[in-house]
Amino acid sequence: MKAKDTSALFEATRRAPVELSKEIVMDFIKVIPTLPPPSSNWFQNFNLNSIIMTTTAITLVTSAVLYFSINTDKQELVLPAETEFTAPMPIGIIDEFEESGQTKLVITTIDTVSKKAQLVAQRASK
Amino acid sequence: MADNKQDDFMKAYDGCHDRFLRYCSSLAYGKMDVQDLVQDVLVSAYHKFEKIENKEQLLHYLIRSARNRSISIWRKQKPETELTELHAQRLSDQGVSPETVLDIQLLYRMLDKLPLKQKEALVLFEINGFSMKEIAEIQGSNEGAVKTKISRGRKKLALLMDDNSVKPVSDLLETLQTITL
Repeated sequence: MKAKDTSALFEATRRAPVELSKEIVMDFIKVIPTLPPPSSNWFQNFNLNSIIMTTTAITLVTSAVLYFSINTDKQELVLPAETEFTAPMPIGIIDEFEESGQTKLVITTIDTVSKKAQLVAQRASK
Repeated sequence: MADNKQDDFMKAYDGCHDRFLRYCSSLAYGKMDVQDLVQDVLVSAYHKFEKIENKEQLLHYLIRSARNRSISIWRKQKPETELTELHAQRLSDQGVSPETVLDIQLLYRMLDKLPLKQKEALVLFEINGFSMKEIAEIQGSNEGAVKTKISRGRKKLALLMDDNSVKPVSDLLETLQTITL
């Protein structure tokens, strides 16, 4: 079929009788007053098919969004940083002993300042 | 009252029939039963007939309504082959020769490949015989735009026809190759 034939096709279509005769359509028009008027209720547009299709689409999209938005990477357990415990330096030592039936207490004071200085010096030397 | 309305409607419709039916046929071809589309549009137009101020504009109203309805109820209720057979059968019943039926169906198939507005402009101008001004009114555009649509539509249609004539040869060669190899 050549391009120039389009005008011939249009001509043939223009000349051909229409699919439905005027009588058929006029007969239908006579029946229209007996038919119920078309409802303008927009709610009738909802049917089971549209509801199922819409719900499925919404469910799929929502689940996809939720699936990809939640961070699924395992979080590594972060241990607290190691802290060096330094017990408070005793100020004094109390010894208890018995001597000839009597309990005696001996309190020895420690020179904490010099001991601390010794410890600091030891650490510095390491 | 109802009889008067019916008479008025029938009188107004009388002059629209051929052009309205041709337009509906081009819209519905292979997609829906033209009878369903025509009935749907007529019921709607009948109930809104009082609101149509200029009764001579009924054809424009019917065409716009058919276009809008065909878009909103664009679902195949029957297989395409059944619809095209029904179309051919109806035309044959009206006394159209099989060759002409094939020509009309080829044209509708090719027109269907054009953009909707281009197709509409071409159908209204070439098949229905509307003037550019009338088409512009129906489409809500201006004459210049309609002229462009028709011109582009013609060119595209010619290209589609060429492609259509080339395809069967290539198909034949392909089939021959398959047989010989």
